[in-house]
Amino acid sequence: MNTDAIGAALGLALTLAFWFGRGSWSPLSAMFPNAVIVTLGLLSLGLLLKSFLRPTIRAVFAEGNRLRILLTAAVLFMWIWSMNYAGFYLSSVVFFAIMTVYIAAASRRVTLRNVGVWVVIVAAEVAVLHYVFANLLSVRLPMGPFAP
Amino acid sequence: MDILGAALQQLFIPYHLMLVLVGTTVGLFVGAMPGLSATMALAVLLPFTFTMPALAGLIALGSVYMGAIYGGAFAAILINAPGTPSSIATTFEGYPMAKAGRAEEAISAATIASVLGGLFGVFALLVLAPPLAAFSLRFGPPEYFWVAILGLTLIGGLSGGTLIKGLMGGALGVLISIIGVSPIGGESRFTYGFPALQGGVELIVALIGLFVIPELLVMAGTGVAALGKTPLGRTRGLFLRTAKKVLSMPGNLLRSVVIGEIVSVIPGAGGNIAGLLAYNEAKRASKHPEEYGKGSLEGLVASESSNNVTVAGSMVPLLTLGIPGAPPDALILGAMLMHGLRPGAELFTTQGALTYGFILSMGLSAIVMLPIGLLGGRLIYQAVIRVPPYFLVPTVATMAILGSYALRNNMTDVMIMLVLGLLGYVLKEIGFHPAPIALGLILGPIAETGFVQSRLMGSAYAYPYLKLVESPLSQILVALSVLAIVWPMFASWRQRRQQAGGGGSA
Repeated sequence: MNTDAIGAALGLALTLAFWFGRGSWSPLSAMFPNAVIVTLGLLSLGLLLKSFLRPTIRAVFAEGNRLRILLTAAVLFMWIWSMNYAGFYLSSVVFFAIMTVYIAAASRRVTLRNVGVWVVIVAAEVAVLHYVFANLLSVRLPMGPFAP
Repeated sequence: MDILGAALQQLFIPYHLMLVLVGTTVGLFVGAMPGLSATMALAVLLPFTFTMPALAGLIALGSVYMGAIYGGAFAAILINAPGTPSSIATTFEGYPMAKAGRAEEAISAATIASVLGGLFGVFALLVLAPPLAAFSLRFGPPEYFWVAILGLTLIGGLSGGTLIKGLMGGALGVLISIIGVSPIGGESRFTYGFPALQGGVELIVALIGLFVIPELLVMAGTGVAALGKTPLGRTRGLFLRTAKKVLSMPGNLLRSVVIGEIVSVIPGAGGNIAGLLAYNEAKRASKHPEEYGKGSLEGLVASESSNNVTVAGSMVPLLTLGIPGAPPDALILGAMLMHGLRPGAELFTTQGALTYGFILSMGLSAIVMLPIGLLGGRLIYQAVIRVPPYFLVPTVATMAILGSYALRNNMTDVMIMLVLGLLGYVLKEIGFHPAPIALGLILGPIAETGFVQSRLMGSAYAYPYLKLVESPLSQILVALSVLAIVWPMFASWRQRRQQAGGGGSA
């Protein structure tokens, strides 16, 4: 694929997103971001020109199973989103375990016994991390339904 | 000399030696965890130091600081996550080395370079503190602006092939750094109606997203761990072989530690800029620039030696002028003030034994890093390679989530980390290296503040922007920036000409 063309399109999209994201700022607050947005736009146009004259052609998203990468990203998103409601411990145990089973299933046979053992290991690992952060480092982790 | 003797006497008591040992070890493991910064470690430790004698408290803080900056190299080498922002440049060579089964060599080299850098920083602090402090005072807003511009010229060396993509990445990084409340006008910028974005994008959150998430997705997609195992037999004598290699590059070491020292005495510029600058200069001066990005020992040594100089280096403006150059320094300043110690010349005379004891303790901490680092590094490495990918990926994900959250106890930061991580993955696939984006994020705020404040300072002039180039130091920085841009072009042109000449005569 012509990665220069994709990069230029993405650059232009980001330029527009930042350009229309501006507000009624004072001149001192606006001058620097305006200059950088214009620079990004010009560079994107330059890359677009390059994509016609001397394009870079390479395979993209070729490393690894694309579906598994997409689903891992989705699991990560749900993991973080659910933390607001279920708290750090619960959501981490659930999604850590899901991710473990899902990635392991790609390379080996996963039995019910494996799943049981892994869930115990995951629960213990997350408990240790929870303890270190909440008790030793005084980080107020999301508690979810366990909030006092 | 009397004061130094008294300082050494105070330092070498078992309680203080134990504090150096424990502090360095704790700092090392905190720094090795992505998202847990030196600042956080010092902030947690600070209240405990209030009840300690002044010297003991400062020794504990200094040792943790030294250990944490060094510990950042472990995460950078083993999982491509800069444990602290100071180790961004370490990821460029350390991780490729680890992938190629050279993790132990990378850890050994990082340890030796960090020890040498740490010792140089302490030496410079002992000998050059007064003139360096005077030098740091000459930096005003215009000079800061040009320092940022000089830093941005590094993009050429960090682009990973396509300069225009590197420049676009840099611009994107600067724009991301602008998100939040404006430092001058106080308006919310690029928050798109989300009040949670007013706090801006934390540097370490962006770094975790840009560097860790893409690797994590690839690991999940391929189902194999990224790290290669060091072949048996290659580990015997590895440390001595690596030490020999590191010490056989004195020019690289000297250049890197001098860069680290100069950058560290400028308040606000930290180990991250020092590491990137030293890395870039090492690449420029290298006889084998083609090896960079594929596991060059030179690049790794440059980054690690320079970033560890900054720990003691940033104490120059702190101890002499009371200016904390970086957030951890502000915490050390807080501890000093709590113990009734006021920065300035008096600190080196009336409190000389205590001050020099503190400075020397950082040197001792740098030396202690050698055994602790080698042992700790080997333990962490063995743990990482033994964990199967299906446990490693979610473990790294948990650390990334915790590291992003713990900075401000904020779930928005975690979501920002993921979004930037996914964007970083897509950008990497289409040829955008994350390093220029990180550079833009670091230098964007410095450049903007310097630019706008210079513009305000020049309001009384007919041409306000002339303020930017008024001082001789600004002019030197402008010249260096121009040279940094023009020299690689000239070198490339000369190389092409030589090749063409060689081809013609063959």
